[in-house]
Amino acid sequence: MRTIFWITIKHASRDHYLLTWSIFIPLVAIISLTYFFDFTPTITMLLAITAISILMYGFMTTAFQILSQRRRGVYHVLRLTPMPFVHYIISTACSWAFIASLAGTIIFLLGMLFFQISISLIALPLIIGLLFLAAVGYVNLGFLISSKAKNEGQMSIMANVITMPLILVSDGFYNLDLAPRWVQQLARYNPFQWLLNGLRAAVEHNYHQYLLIVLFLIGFIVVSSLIAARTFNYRID
Amino acid sequence: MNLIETNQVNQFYGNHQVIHDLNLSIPKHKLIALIGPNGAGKSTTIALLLGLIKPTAGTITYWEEAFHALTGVQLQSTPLFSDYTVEENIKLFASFYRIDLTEELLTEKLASFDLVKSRKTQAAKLSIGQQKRLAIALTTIHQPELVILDEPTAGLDPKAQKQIRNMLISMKDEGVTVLFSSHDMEEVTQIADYIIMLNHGEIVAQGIPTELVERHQAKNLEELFFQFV
Repeated sequence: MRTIFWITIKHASRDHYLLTWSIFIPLVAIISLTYFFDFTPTITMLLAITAISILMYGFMTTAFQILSQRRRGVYHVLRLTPMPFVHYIISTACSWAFIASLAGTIIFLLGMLFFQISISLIALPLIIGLLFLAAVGYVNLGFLISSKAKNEGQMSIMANVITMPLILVSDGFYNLDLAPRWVQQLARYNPFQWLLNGLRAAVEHNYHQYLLIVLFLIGFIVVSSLIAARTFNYRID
Repeated sequence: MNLIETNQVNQFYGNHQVIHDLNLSIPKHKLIALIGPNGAGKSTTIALLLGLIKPTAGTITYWEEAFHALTGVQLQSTPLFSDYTVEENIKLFASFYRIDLTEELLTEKLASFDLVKSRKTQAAKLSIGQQKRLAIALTTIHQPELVILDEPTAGLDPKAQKQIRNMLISMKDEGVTVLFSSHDMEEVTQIADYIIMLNHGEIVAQGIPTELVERHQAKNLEELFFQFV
């Protein structure tokens, strides 16, 4: 598992194009908000941008990589080896989550610089830890949809069908107090909302809430790993 | 001794029967060719032998319960992590088989498959011949007893084909049983010491090539092939 973890990290860190875009697009959003809009930067906004970058890298980009490896027949052969597939999922998910959380941390630190926001030193490792946990869960979701899609077009649609509601049914960019009650209820079960709540709890030193979110995310990882492994489609369509 | 034996195996895809009463044996320490025209059922037979698909009817018996750990496989598509380097592919596959790959072993593997110079090259950037060599190197990473290759020389130039054939012969000389599918009779004549001939999902001939040619009064394997297909 260690070999898979380190080789996947090495490979992901070589993908300069993907990394640049994962950091560049959120950074453009931060710079635009700072200089081109009549807008008061807030920590809530910065946390939402960071959380989106984690969702996009963890879920979207890895889902495309998994699809392309599946179509090449790699998993077909992997199935014929003694390596349990769930071990492979855990190792690669951890590597991709590591890179995603690294990119998220860079975005957050640059955002702090542009927004001129400061947080306590203790909050930073708590934020990074949470980004990593959420990213593992989102990568598992990537495994899940990459099993269902037959090509990149289908993958794009499915990815949007999942990410859009996750983002929209959350209070990342607007207050949900005025939203219909069912939307507010849905938000309580939204893993993207959990990440947002956890990040805010880290900044506000609300450790009880933080720990609760960590437990939620660990549960999310366990469930999503099992579902991803059970539903994984090895076939070359 | 046989590594695999199938007994009255039938395979349907919907209402379409693709394999009919398959009774075959994979004898140990042989270089076995699974031959037949396109659509004869070679790939389905390989998938059945590997347990990738369950037969609709019939049984398959293996020499070992954990036969997957002792089998190397290369399917028709070359299953490589194409964005990863040659070296990374070998390390990854070694970890899948829980092999502790030392630097010495890695270098040895690269040398035996003529991949030393391209060890840092991404698999996607290799020539088709190099990709095939890498795919075969990956099948032998765990020192398997049986290697199954689906059309290992398809799409290669004559020089690359010769290299692959020599590799198959070396594997057999090292005591590995090799089963490969092909529809190239010249290739089969050159290297195979046991053949299984399929047509329309049925075995039409099985045995040692020279004996089969003699028994069916054919001039050579190619003529024998055309007698049946």
